[in-house]
Amino acid sequence: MTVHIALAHGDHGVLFSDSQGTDQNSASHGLHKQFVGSNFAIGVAGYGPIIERLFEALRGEFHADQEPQLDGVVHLVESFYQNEIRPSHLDRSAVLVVGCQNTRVCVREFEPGTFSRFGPPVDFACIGTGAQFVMRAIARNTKLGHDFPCSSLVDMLVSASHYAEAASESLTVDDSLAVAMLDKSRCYLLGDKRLEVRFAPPRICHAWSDLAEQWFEFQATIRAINREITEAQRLFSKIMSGDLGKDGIERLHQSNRGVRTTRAQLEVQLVEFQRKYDGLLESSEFILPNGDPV
Amino acid sequence: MTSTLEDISVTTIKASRIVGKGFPTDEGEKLANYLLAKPERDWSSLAIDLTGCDSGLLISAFFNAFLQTIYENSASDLDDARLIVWKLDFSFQRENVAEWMKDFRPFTMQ
Repeated sequence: MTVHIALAHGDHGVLFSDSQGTDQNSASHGLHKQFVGSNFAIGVAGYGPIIERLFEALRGEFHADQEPQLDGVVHLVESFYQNEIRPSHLDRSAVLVVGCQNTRVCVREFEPGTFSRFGPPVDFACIGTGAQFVMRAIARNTKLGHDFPCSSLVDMLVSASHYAEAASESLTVDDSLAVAMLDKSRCYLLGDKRLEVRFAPPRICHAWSDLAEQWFEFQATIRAINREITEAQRLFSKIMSGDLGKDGIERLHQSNRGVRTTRAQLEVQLVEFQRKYDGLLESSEFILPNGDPV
Repeated sequence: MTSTLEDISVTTIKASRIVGKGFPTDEGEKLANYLLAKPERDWSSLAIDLTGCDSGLLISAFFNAFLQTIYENSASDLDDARLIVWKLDFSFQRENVAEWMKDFRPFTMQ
């Protein structure tokens, strides 16, 4: 049981995934339900053995340094379901892919139980048992006129975090997240330190505990931005009784500045993180495919 | 808690004992009122430890409400209050708070 939330626009995209595994008797945490390539990311919801087998197939097909075309990734996944999964089990999983197609980042969704191919490129998709909570939150925001921007990577991190928080209301979704980010056809992975990262570039698996430390500050910054917005909405709600005065408007101006300064901090963190990540990928240290050093 | 470094004595207040889980604006006012109630206060030697507090609490509304409350109750203390040393978990918070302390402009309540 899970949630995957994918957003894309222009040169950027994100894939937010929780890490909870749930069966009839128990829940577990720390599952990395993504396959992260050099220029794409895949999130799969559903039956664990299918996810594991698909990710192993992808690892066998795509070397860590390869930058495949998104169509090639999509075709491989479709072939996997056609050739490896029995018809009676096709509806036991769903797939999201985020990657670059025709010079822009996009999301593509695949429900093998219903369709034989991926759907067309879109800017947003959400799968898993937590998806209904996300869709309800989106519908509510739309009705209230709360327009979450999704043009930049900062926009997407803030918006997806907001919706991931809504999804965590589900009993089958936790808040230990894996976040894949696409920036100009390079894919970056960050997330909770409790994740057992196996299906990502080996150098990233090896350095995971170090990278996860940065996610702690990212998360705090994103949370601060979302709370600035929430607090501004609370201040604005005085309008409901016609009591929004000059002092309220001034407080809203202050909140606006707060959002702006904290977003600027998130931009700085992103640049620093990407520089560190790129350095790790270009390191000359030899790492085995399982992430262990030689 | 008071510490001495050379000839400078700093009083550090652990804010998590004062602020709660309420709205940032309300918690900022609460902290300011707590400090204003102290009979002797030396803003220039005051440090407020906000480590361990929720990052969702320590937003501009918290600090603006803190300074606005000080302005409304003791306007002459506002400039000294801007010099409070804030102990925070993350570098982004330290950068933000420094900017908010410097740029805060009080307003008159209607």
